[in-house]
Amino acid sequence: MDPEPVALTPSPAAPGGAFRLVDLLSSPLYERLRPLLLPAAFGGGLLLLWQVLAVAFDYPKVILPAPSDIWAALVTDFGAIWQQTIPTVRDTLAGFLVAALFGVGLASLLGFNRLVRDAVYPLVVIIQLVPKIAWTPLFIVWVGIGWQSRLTIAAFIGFFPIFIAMMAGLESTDRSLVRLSRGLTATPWRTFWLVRFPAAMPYLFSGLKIGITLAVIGVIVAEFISSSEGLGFLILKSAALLRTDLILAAITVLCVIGLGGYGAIHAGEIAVRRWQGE
Amino acid sequence: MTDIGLPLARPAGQDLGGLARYAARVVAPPLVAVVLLLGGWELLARSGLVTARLLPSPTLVYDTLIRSLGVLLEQAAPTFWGAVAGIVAAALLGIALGAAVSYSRTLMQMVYPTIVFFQLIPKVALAPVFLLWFGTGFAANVIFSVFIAFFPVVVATITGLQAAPPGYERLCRSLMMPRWRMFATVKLPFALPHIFAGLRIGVTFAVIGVVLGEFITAQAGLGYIILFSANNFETALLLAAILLLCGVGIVLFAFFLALEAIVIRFYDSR
Repeated sequence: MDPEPVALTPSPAAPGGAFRLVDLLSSPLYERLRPLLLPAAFGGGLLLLWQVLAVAFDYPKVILPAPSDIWAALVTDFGAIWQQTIPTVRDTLAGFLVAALFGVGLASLLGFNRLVRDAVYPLVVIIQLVPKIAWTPLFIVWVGIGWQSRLTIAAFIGFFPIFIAMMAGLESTDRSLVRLSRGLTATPWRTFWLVRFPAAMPYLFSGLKIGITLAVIGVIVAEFISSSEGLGFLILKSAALLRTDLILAAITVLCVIGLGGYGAIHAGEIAVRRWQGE
Repeated sequence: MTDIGLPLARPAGQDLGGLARYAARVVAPPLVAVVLLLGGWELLARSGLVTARLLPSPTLVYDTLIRSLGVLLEQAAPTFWGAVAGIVAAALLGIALGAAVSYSRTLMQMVYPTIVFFQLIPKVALAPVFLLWFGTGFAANVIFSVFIAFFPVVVATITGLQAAPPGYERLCRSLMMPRWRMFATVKLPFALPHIFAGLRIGVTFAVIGVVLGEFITAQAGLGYIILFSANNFETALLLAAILLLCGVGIVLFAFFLALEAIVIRFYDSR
């Protein structure tokens, strides 16, 4: 099972005696790398198993292309994939920005007025429960089949987690800090900007992380339903042409986009935390 | 303020007053907002500024809903049962896999990052592949729905099974309790709130999975009606179908809330 042949030969680094696998497995270096090595081995093993099964049983490529086939499709059709990647990324980013702006803005506004908050917040929580992806055709009726509707859908779907996280963050602010700043005659605006907004940051970032994932999903679904560009369109077109390898290649690119967005927000969170001096 | 919070110590009249205050504070504001929203919408639709194709009035949507209720309910059945089958299978698989993975630290370190990876990628993009694999019928929609709803349940189960305080675990070990009993009497009760939180997300995802399958195959179900009416610019029917779909989502969600209350009460009473 263990792929490392090192264990079979005596290592020059080991002082005297033969090198033993047990030593390697209990070394502090292995303990440190374990959280990285184990999932990498598992993921690599899955891919290897997939490749071996696909080749050994000679599955038709239409049903189950091997990872090597997917890679080949990714390389040979890279031009076509890249051409469709640009609109998807553009609409996702734009939709996410609008969602973040509205989510943070509306949550901050509601933080100033208790009555409006009590009126609007429960409604948003209820809408959060219903399957919003299903509203996509409605937006296409309203906004048309261009990039505008994709942007609107991504913004609509990405808005809710960001708004709810920001609300939760603003409400989690330490009450005594708010009272203190009021006692020091800070205006509501200064209290918001200097105390409540920074306190909401961790919540906001977790909401943004969900929001960017949902924005990608919104754009893809909109491209499924009506579009002549984007990776969702490419996936549906490849499905019609039974090019399963191309579908999976496009999905690989989508995974990279999704993880890239998530990683960028995570990096932003670390930067903000460092800037806040934690 | 000598009220110590015991319900018996409170006079009946005060309770009613509390109820009224609760209603005024919690229920009234969103209700007023809904009425204002619907009223404004109705006025806007009747003013002739926007056509009924773009924005049908709430009364028109309601009329359409009543008039087409037979067809809509007929199409809601496959969506509802598909989502039920999806979330039940996803719950069984997710809880079982979560429990199995939590059994060993090595297994957990191996599998957990892969599961988190699947949480982050846009899984809906895989819908066409599922349809290639499993055909375009009801079964394919259910399988895709299971696939989407499965991940939040697994992640919640794994998180929940780590929620028991380590002191409890040490106590059980020193009492030589068998592992399965420790699982049933200590770990599972602590995990239940997490598992139910995962199920609440999962049930929304299960509905989304079924509807997405219906969007792509376009043969039956509320997803099909929604897409069909959008293509024909029958916006009132579209909104009626979305309303019914929201009803499906909320019914399933409420079922899991009730189940959670029952299960948690069962564990609390022991």
